Amino acid sequence: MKQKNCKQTENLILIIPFLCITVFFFVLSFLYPKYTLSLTENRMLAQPPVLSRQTIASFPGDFEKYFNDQFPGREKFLKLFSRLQLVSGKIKVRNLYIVNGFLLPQEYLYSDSDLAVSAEKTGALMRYIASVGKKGCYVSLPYKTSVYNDMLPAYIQNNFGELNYMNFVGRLDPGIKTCDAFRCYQGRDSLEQYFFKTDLHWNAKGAAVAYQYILQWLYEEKFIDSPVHSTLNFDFAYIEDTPYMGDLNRRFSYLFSTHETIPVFNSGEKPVQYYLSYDSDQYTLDKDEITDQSLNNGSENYNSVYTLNRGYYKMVSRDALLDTGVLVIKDSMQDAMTEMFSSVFQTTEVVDIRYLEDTALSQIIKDSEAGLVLLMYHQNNVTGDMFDFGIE
Amino acid sequence: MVFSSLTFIFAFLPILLSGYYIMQDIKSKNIFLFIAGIFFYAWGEPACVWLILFSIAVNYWLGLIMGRITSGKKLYLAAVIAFNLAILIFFKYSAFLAANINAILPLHLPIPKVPLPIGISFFTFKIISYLADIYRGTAAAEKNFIRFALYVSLFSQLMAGPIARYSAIAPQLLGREHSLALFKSGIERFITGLAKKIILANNLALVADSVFNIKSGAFGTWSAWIGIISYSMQIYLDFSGYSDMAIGLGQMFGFTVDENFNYPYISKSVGEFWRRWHISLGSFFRDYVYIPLGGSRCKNILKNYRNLFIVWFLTGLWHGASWTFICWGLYFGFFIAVERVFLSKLLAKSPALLQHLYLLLVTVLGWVFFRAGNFAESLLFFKRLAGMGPSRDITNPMLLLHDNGLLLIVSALACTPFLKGSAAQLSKHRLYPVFNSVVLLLLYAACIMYMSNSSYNPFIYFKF
Repeated sequence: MKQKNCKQTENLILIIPFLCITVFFFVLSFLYPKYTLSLTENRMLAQPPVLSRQTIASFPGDFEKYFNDQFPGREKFLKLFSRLQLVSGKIKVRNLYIVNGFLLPQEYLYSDSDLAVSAEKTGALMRYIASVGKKGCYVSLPYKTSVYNDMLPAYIQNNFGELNYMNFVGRLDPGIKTCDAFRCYQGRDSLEQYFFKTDLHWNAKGAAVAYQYILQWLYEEKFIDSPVHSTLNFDFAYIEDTPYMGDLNRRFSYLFSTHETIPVFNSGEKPVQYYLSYDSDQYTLDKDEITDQSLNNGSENYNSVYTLNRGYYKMVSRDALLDTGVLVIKDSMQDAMTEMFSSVFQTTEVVDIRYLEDTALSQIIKDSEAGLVLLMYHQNNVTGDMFDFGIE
Repeated sequence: MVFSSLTFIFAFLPILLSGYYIMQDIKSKNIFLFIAGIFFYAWGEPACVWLILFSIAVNYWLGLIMGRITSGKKLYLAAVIAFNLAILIFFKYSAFLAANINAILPLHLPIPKVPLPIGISFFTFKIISYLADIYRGTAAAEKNFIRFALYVSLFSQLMAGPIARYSAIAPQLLGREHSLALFKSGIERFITGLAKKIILANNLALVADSVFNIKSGAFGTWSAWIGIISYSMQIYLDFSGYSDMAIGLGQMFGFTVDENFNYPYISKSVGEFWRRWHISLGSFFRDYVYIPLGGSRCKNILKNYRNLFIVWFLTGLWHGASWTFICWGLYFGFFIAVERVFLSKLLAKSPALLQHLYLLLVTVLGWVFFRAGNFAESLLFFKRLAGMGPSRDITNPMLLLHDNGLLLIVSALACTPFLKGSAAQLSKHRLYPVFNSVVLLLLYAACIMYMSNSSYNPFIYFKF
């Protein structure tokens, strides 16, 4: 009898906790507050699906998505998972290489056919720019993983960024001028100072080196008349004691230090006016409207320190070094360069085709008062939606 | 809804357990489980729930007739099996058949786009075994509709088996033991299976996919071997893990079924491997195809080998409507035939290590057909395995090993009886029950963490 009781107790040692855990999460899944946004993933979370005659086929799948997304303590489990992955000493976690505290996005080798498509679209864009009487060129900005390639163990140094770029440029029309601004750091020391450790992006210091390189190239290629690169003075201020919320750190629930050096380009007191619309001076903007103001916890991120991705905005600087204008078709790397542009060009129009809503890119280029159009993407951004310019 | 999902474990299972144990008598419990099984099926395949209900209703009736008739029984059996196979062929193989007919004859048949109902291969084979057992007299026709319906639709076996025989389940449908010991054993099996699936197999899949998904073939020999070894362990841990969960869930509800896997990778021959791998399928083909064809006892030796290759052709075809699966089946049939002719005698004289290496090499290489999308990809993969490298290797075998070394070692151990044997050694200790529970609950917690992370889907406009 005693032995039987002992056996039953042994059984219950497992049964009771198992049932408790299972029922606990079952009950909690009803009581736990429902969230709309995942901070770690930067995406909207699934909400309760509605069961109806029309949704009956998709309801189970939608419910499972909802149940998974709203699972009690999910964000904490994600954080714990990240922590364990990091503790295990892996080099690649959540598709990022982790080396010397730097988070480097994994590079992929793009197919020749994809690169041929984007090269063809770039050719069409450049032909259109020429057809409306403007000059155009392609500027390739540094990509973080390529810049810090030497940090990686030798067996990961695959240089896909370089290969992708070379394959892309090799397919461009020979007449298209290309500025390899990603080579701007060659021969320089202390490369660590140019990019945020926990962000995909560079900082203003890194952007400034590239910007100087671009200005020199534009002058040498006769896109601009004055050698402003030699006279431009780069002065930086530093944002101190403010946590920096890197976009790659977000993937790890900010497990990495948020203490980063945040340099900001100090353009002096030059008055710059900002406009939302390219065809009317009435739509003036406050500068705050082109920066991220959503952070209310005293922290900063790339878009709050520099500028935000918007479909279109124009800057007019009467005290600029040049009396000409430039139109920049850009990805987010340009955001750290915005103020540098307004220091040099009298008008700078910035277009991010991902966020263009009502106006076609072709119309903006045609109506722009700028004589120079720069297609300015980072070195590894050579395929995909960002080449859908809508110009055949 | 798979067993290894948060929805199943933390929404479906608690309701199921509570409802089941509230029911007092076996009749109510069976009705409840039948409804649960149909709900479970409808959840995964709402559009095809009518098919399983139709199949249950018709075969219940066919079974009753089979139990009554005395003459023409063989013809009747052939007809009812043909009926069930026709359903299976229509849903699973019609597109494959049409494509192959079109390849041979200029008929230009339209390729039907028929949705594949979940678990159709499993429940069809369960029904066929039931009807064949009635024909043979090893089982009586089930007169109670709910009991028959529950046999076919028991949720724990519905999606991926095991293909439990009716004769083994029938007594349990009439009455079954519900004890703490069985329930605890069920939890142990369920957590073990869950961990095999979630912690090991799913992560091995990432390693294997990182190689197999490179359709251009830009991967080298090291990566190819890492990929196929990972896949070999993945498929075992995934499938046996799912079988463990099915067996464990069955035990929680008082059902006991035979083992479906018995550490197949420790085998010393292909024949032995298939006696340890997906045992319920292997025994189905043995009992309902191979032996009725005459097995290996035909006077004409060629017929013996014909029977063997028919079985392996069907085994391959059962796994998928593709020539690569058929080739995979025949590949094993070939090695079993060769073993029968001379190799088994030769192997018996060899050191055990050599026998293991032979088996591992044959099975691991066989999985190439199973995993690759077509023959061209299979051929390419074999070339890489053989050292015929690509002009460009875009994989990082060193990184794969660095980041997954521990996973590969633990997975390899989990493919052997080592961990089970170690647990058996420890079980003599007084504190073993506590230790065992703590380890299992930690594994359960780890699985919850992994399952939560499985829906991790960051929105990254990664091009920026």
